[in-house]
Amino acid sequence: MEGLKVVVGSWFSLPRLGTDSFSALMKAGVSYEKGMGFMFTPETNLQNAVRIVEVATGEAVELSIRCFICSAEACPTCQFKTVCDRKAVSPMCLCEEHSSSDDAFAVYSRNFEARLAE
Amino acid sequence: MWTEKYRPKTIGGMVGNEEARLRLVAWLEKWKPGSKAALLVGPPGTGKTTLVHLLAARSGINFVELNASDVRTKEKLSKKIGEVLGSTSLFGERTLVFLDEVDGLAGRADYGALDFIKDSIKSSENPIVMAANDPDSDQVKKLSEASLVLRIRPPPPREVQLFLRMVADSEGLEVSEGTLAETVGSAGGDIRYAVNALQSGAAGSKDVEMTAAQSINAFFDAQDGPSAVRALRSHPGQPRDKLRDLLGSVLKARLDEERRARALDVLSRADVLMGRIARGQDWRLLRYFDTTLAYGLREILEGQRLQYSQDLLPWPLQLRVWNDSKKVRELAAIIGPKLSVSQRGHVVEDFPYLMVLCASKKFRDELVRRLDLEDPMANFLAKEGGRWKG
Repeated sequence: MEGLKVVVGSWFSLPRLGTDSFSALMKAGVSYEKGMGFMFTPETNLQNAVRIVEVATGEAVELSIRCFICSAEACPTCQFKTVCDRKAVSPMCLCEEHSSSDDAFAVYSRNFEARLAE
Repeated sequence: MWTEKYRPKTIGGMVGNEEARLRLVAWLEKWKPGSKAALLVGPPGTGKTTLVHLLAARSGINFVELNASDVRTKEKLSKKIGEVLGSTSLFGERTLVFLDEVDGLAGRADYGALDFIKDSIKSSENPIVMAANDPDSDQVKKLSEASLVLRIRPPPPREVQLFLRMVADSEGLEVSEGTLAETVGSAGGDIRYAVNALQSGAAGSKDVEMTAAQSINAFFDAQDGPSAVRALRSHPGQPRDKLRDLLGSVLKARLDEERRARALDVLSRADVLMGRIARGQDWRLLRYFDTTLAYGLREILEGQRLQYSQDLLPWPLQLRVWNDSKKVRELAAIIGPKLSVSQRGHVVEDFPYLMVLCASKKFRDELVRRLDLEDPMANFLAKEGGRWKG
């Protein structure tokens, strides 16, 4: 099977899937907008959505998640890339830069509190 | 215990589920009578209860907590929280009502607990937040309509590592990146386990608890026999629940008939084994149940793409049920009560046999006469019965 890269929170396109697969994706909480395509969101049932796409397209889905702080793709440089089940974990992470500094946890918490205050 | 010492004191002190945490806080801040409830759905050990406690602490709101699976009937629920839901304090202060493990509520309609909660959400003077483990449970499906559903998942390994490093640094602990990574890997996203492992210096392997769907899908995805057995052992249900889930998935999969027949044979043998265990109370044999099932099915299903399905209807019949769903529902509404089964029970379990019987004109005419069915329904039965002729 060839790979189909999907970043949670980003639009991606799929070939025409047929009604059953499309409605199954909607049921799994996948967003769809004409002209934009599909998007896996934090509320998407990623286990189901990935499986539906894989069965419908015959392509393996490579899932990637973004850094909570800077929105950069977090997975490419991650040491846990091979052991992290991205279909099962919460759909945001931290990039190399924002997880490796000495005060990374404090920066992360402050950033969260700042978003709360927005 | 470090798990207590480093238990988050604020919502910002947690890791993972950032979007869900932000949305939950926003939900409570905007909540007014008539608003939806919040429903946190996720596996055990992902911080749902901690999150709700911190939410209440952050907003300074009064807080009432109840484990819904301990109070399963409408009467008991009403007695416990009815008054709280319907009133505010003398000074107009609200109370956050937390119902934990709502998927443990009795699903039976006559117990009324689910309907009580759904009605309460509409009429409550106070915000209700609920938590559940199994996203595929009927209770979650029913409560979802009246709730803001937030999925709570284990944090990614990198965020667990971030938390562990903070703990290690705070304790002045010299710990190598390799050890830290090993501890993270063994924790399966469970922060408490990871912190305990860090404290004890042990990084043993943890049995991961999964939902039924995760377990069955992990079984189908397993790359080798031991992983397949582990996936089945992680199923939260009883052995017969596993069999039922596997049966539904095999029936719904696109398999050639010969392969499907062989898979069903394995399931049938496992069912016989389970029957023997139960009859003879010989529970030692249970250790062979998952192994027999996993290795037997893997051999047959290798290279096939299957996914979890709860439904026991095969595709061709399900398509017809969808197409003729109105008539099927009408028929189920008439026949179900006469057989003392639910409408769904009738559709799933009896309907296929009824259609076979309807191949006989004599049976069909008698059925139409006894149930006083009108012409459209009689024609529908004739059409369905006709499929089974010959």
